[in-house]
Amino acid sequence: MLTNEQFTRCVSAYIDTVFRLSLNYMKNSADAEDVTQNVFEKLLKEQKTFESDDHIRYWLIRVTINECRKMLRSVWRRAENIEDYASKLSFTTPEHSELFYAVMELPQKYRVPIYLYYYEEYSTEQIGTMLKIPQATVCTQLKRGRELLRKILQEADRDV
Amino acid sequence: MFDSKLYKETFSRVRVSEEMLSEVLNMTKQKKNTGIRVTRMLVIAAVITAMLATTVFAYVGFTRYENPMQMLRTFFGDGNQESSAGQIVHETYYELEYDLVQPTIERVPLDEKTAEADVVPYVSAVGESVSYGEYTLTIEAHLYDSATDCGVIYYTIENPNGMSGYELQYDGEVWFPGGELILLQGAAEKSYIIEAETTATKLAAASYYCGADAEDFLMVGFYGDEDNSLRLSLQDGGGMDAITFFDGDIAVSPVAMRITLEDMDFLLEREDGSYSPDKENHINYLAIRNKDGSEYVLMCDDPRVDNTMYALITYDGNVASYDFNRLIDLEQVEAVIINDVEFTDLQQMTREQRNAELETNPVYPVATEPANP
Repeated sequence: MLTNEQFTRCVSAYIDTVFRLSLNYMKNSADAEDVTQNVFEKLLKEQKTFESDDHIRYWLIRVTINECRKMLRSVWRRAENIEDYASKLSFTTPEHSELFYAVMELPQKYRVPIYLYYYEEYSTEQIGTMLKIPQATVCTQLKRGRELLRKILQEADRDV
Repeated sequence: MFDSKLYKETFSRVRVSEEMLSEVLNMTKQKKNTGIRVTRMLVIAAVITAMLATTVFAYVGFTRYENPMQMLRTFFGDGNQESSAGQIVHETYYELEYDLVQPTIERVPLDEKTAEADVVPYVSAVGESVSYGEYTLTIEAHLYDSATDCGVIYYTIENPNGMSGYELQYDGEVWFPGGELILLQGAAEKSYIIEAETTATKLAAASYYCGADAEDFLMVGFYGDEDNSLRLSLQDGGGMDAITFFDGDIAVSPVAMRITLEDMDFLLEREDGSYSPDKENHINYLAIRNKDGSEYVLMCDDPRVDNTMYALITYDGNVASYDFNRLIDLEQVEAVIINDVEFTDLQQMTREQRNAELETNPVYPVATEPANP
């Protein structure tokens, strides 16, 4: 079990990771916050001894995925417009804002691997293990996600 | 070209609120169930935690079962449940009369080669019991498939004064008209009698479940005595092989299949061209086609066929899971067929094939509709 000091260090280091991944799953900041709180509750109670910071990070991501999947099946999800949340993020350029909206338009099966691969820099093999899908499927999801993202951004440019 | 730098910069703006950060950091200072931000999920978790706080569980980990092949013959062969032709049976229930359609069921001998290579390593011995009144529940063995969140539990219920109160459906499903004895928490299930091992004082049964709820364990116990439930580990010792189609929306293992319906809009379309809101009600044919042309028909509406042990649709209608009534040799699978749409984009490539595909970026086949359905 983590000491209070270790727990505080983990929160500071990884809470944004957990929240970002949750947001990619839930597409809803309120549910993402609920998931984040649940995940760190579990960390606080976890009896396992972690071997390294990487081990903790990996564990947190696995638990976040599980919690998101559970919540996605729940009848009690809240309705929130992602645009309301995005308006609070104050992106520095229009490109950042457009990319955020475009990513949020992707199906979840593409959003999540893209986040784990490009932001958290996990390998396709590691992502496959986390998501319980074959590595080949991860590769295909990344490829299709990128293609779809390109299409969404191109259409957004045309609308402008 | 994907701009990963732009992506990282964009998502680095996504951070928890200061309020959330403060609440989580303060978790260590607060007692359980007080002063914690109350979310719907935490309310449920708090109730369950309080219920479990004073209990002692038998936690059952992952150990190899001693006679797994015999168990698999029972679960996935033709020695327990019999094949039967479909028929319509007229039933009465008090003053209500209705016609019950019993589907055609086909059982086949166990594929022992697939069993030995692909499934036996994941059968775990349990051998734990709990008692409640005159009854003793013993979990003998457990098979869990992480790719589909489905599995099978082999259990017995004993009563030295006689095991009664249950009835059998036409397909061997066990139910207790006076109210179920056993509660499975963390998944939904259907139990079938194992005739060869059932006696006057012992009911032996197999529980096929779907939708294991993303926790690390299931809980199995008696209704009314949930505090003394047994925990079954969902750490499956590495995981059975699985293949996927349609970008992972269809996952097939040797024992079960899971389908994510979210992107399957073709299911919404009615014959007259109009659209209905319920995808799950429109799967009228589901099959796995093998390379030799044979098909394992899981379900068909007309004629009525049901070769699943249990099927589950999640509450939101987005995920459908099916426990098979036989083992599937994944190397022989060519396609999954849902209604008249064939999914042939099997994703189980070699490393060389995968790397070649990523480098050359060819058009990758998606769900294809047969020219003449």
